[in-house]
Amino acid sequence: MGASSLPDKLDKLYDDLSGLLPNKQDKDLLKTLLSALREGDKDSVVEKMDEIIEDLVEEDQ
Amino acid sequence: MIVWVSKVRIKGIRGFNDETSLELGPTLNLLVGKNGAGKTSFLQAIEWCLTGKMKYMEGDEFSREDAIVNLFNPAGTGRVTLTLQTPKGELEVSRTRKRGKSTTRGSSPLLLKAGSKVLEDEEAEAQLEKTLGLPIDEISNSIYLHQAALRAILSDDPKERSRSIDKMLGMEEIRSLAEALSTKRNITKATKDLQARIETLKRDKVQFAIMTKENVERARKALITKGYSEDDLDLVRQVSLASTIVERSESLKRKFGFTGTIPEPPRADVVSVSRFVEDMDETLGSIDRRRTDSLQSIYKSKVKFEGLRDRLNQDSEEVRKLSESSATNIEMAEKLTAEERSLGDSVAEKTRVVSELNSAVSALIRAQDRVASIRSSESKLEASISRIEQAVGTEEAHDQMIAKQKEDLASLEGKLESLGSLEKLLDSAIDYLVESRVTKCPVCEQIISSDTVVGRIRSNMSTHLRGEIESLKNNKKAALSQIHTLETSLKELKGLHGQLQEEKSRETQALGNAEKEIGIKLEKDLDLLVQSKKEVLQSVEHEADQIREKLNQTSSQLRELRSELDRFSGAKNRLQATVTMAQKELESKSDEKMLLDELKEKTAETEQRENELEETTELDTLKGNLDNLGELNQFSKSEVELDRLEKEVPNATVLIDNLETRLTSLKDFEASLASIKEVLGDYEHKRASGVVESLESSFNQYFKSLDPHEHFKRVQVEVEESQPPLYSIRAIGKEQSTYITTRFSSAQMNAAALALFLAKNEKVAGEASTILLDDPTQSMDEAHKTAVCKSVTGLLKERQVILATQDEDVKRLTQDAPKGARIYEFSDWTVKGPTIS
Repeated sequence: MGASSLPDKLDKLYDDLSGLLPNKQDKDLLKTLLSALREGDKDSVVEKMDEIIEDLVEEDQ
Repeated sequence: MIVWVSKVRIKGIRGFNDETSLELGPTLNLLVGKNGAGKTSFLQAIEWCLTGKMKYMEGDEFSREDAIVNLFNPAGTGRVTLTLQTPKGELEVSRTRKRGKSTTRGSSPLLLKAGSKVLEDEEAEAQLEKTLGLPIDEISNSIYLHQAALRAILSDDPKERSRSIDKMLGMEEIRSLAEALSTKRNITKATKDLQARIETLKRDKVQFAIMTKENVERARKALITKGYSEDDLDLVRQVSLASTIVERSESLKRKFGFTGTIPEPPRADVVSVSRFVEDMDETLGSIDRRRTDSLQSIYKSKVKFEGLRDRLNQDSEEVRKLSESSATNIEMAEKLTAEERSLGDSVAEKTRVVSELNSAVSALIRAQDRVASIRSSESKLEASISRIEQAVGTEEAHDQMIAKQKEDLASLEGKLESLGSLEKLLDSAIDYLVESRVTKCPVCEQIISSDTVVGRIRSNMSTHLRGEIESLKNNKKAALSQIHTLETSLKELKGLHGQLQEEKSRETQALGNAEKEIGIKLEKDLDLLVQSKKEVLQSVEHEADQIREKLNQTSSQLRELRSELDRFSGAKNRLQATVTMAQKELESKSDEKMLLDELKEKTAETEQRENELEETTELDTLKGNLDNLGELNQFSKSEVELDRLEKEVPNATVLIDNLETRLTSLKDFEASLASIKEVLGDYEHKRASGVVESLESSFNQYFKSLDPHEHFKRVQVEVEESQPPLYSIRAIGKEQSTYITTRFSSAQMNAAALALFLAKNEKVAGEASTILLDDPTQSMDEAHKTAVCKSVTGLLKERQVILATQDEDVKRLTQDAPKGARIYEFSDWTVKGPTIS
C-alpha cells in the first residue's frame, strides 16, 4: 500500500465503481459527482446533486 | 534516513510573529513547553509549508477568518521556509501567504530551491511530491499525528471516530462521497412539483382551448339570435360602424359644446377596435357630462331670471302700495311724536311728586314707629310707678312713713337705754351682795342667804328684764328693716320718674326731627297725618298711571306708524337692489319696467336651450351603437384568443413532453443515486477491510511495544457493515475481547491510537522520514510514558521525530536517545511569538 494523491484516488474510485454499475447513466452521474468532490468536498457533491434536481424542475425550461 | 527537515524558519504564521529560525537534528527533536507556548503552531507551520493546508482547521469559524497568518503581524504576511536534507542534497521549500480577508481556505504559492534551480507552484509541488514519495494531500495524514486526530480516534461517537480513522487510512474521499449520497435530497417533492405542473398544463392549456372554442360558438349563436348578421361579426364592418359613430359624435360635440377630441376610427384589428370602444365610451361619457353640466348651468340661469322677474314684480307692487299711505302716516307720526313728548313730561312730573310723597310717607312712618316705641317704654314706666304707688304710696307717703318709722325707732332706743341702765344697776346690786355676803335682809332683817338672793335676782333678770330687752332689740331691727325697704322703694320710684321724663323728651325730639325731615309742622295726630299723606300719594300715583297708559298708547301708535314708514323705505331699497341686480345680470341700463320685458325674453331663450339639452335621443342611440360595437369586438377578441390558444396547444404538448422527460430523468437520477450508493457501500466496506487487514500486523507490533494493558495484548480494527462503514477497535486477551472505548483508560486508548498512526506511517511514509507527534503522552502515567518514549527512541534509527509535549517527564525519559537529539524549551509567548531556548 502506498499513498496516492486525491485525483489518483478518485480516478481509481471511478474505475472500481463504474465496473460495478449497470448502465451508462449511472456511470455518468458517478463521474459528475466525483468531479464535484475533486473540486471541493462533501458539500460540493451535495450542492451538485441539488443543482441537478433544480435543473430538472426549474420553471423556465 | 532519507528526507528530513534540518531547519525551520517561521515568520507571521499562527503564534509566530517575528521571524524564528530553528536548526533540527536528524533524530529526536523535543519541543517542551506549557500549553499555549507555540509548540503546536511550530508543527502546524511545518505541515502548512509542505501541504499548503492545516488539516484540522475546518468548520464554520475557520471559513469566516484567516487563522493561518499571525493575527498581530503588521504586514499581514506569513512565510515558512524548510530546509530538507535529501540523498541528492539540500532542498529549500517555502510557502508565503497574505492574510485572507475572511477565510482560512485558499491556496498559497510554494517555492522550491534545489541548488540554483528554482521551481514555483505546481512544478514545485510536483518536485516535492517526487522527493518525499508522497502526494501533497497525503502528507498530513501520513506524518503528522495531530492532537485533534488523537481526540477523534478516541471519541465515543462512532461516526466521528470512523471519519478520523478513514482520514488516517487515506480513505476520506470514499467517506465524503458516501456521506454526500446519504444526505437526504427532496426528490419526492421535486417529482410531485413536476407532476403537478404537467397536470396543470394539460388542464389549463388543452382543455381551456376546447372550452374557449365552445364558448366562442355559443357567443356567435347568441349574437345571431340577437339580430346581428354574420357580416357584422367581421372586423371591417366593425370599423365601418366605428366611423359612423365618430361622424355622429362630431355632431354631438358641436351641439353640446364639448371641447375635447373625438377618437379617430380604429384599424381593422381587434386591439385597435377594443381601444376605440374604450376611448369612445369615455368620450361619450365626457360629452354627456358636458351636456348635463350645460343643462345645469342653463337651469340655474333660468331660475335666476325667473327669480329676478318675480322679485322685481313683487318689490314694485309693494312700493306702490306703501307709497299711497306714506304721506298721511308721516303727518300722523309728527303729531304723535309731539303728544308723546308732552305726556312724557307729565309722567316725569308725576313721578317726581310721587317720589316726594313716598319720601314723606316713609319719614312719617319712621317717626310714627319711633314715637310708638318711645310711648311703649313710657307705658311700661308708668305701669311700674303705678304699681309701686298702689303698693306703698306716692313719694310724699313714702317720706311720711319713713319719718314715722324713724320716730318709733327713737322711742325704742330710749326704752332700750333705760332697761340697759336697770340691768347695770341690778348687776351692781348682785355684785354687792356677793361681795358683802349679807346674811340678813336690810329691809326685813330676815335672815337670808346671799347666794339665794343673788340666784333669785339673776333668775328674775333673766326671765323679765332680758326678755324685754331682746323684744325691744327685735322691734328696733324690724323698724330699721322697714325704713330700708321704704328708702329703696322711694329710690326706685324716683328713678322711674326720671326715666319717664327722659322718654318724654325723646318723643318730643323724634317729632321735631320728623318735622324737619318732612318740612311740615306736625300739629295733627301723626297717624292721621300718615293716612292723609298715603291717600294723596295713591291719588297722584293713579293719575301718573293714567298718563303712562296714555303715553304707552301713543308710543305704540307711533311705533306702528314708524314701522310702516320703515317698510316703505325698505321696499324702496329692495326694489332698487333688485333693479341693480337685474341690470347687472342683463348688462342693461333700463328701468324696472323695461327690465321686466328683458327678463321675460331671457327666460324664454333659456327654456329653448334647456329643451335642446334635454333631448338625448341621438346620444343614447350613439351609446347603443357603441355597446353593439363593444359586443362585436368582445366576440372578435374571443375568436382571437381561441386562435392563440389553438396555436398554443401544440406548444403546450411539447412542454408537457419536455416535463415528462424531465420527470423520467429525475426518476432515473434517483435510481442512479440508489445504484451508486449500493455499489459504494459494498466497495467501501471491502476497501476498508483490506486496508485494516494490511495494517493489522504492524498495528499490533507497535501496540505490543507500547504495552499499555496487562491483559489485552492484541488489538484489531473491525469494520462494521453500514454506509459509510463504522470502525471500532477491539482489544483481545487470551479468552476475552472488548471494545477499547468501553474498558480502556484514556492513556491506554491513546497508546492504541498512536500504534495505529505509526503502523499507517510505516506503510505510506514513502521517502519522508519525519514524524510530527503532538503531545502523544497526554493522560499517561509513568509506565505508559516510558513505553511511548521507548518506542519513539526505537523509531529514531530510521525516523526524524519532532515531538511536542508539555510533559517534563518526556525530557527525562528520552535521555537515551541517540546522539544529536535536541531539546527546545518554548516559553513566555508574547504577541511577537514564543521564546525558544
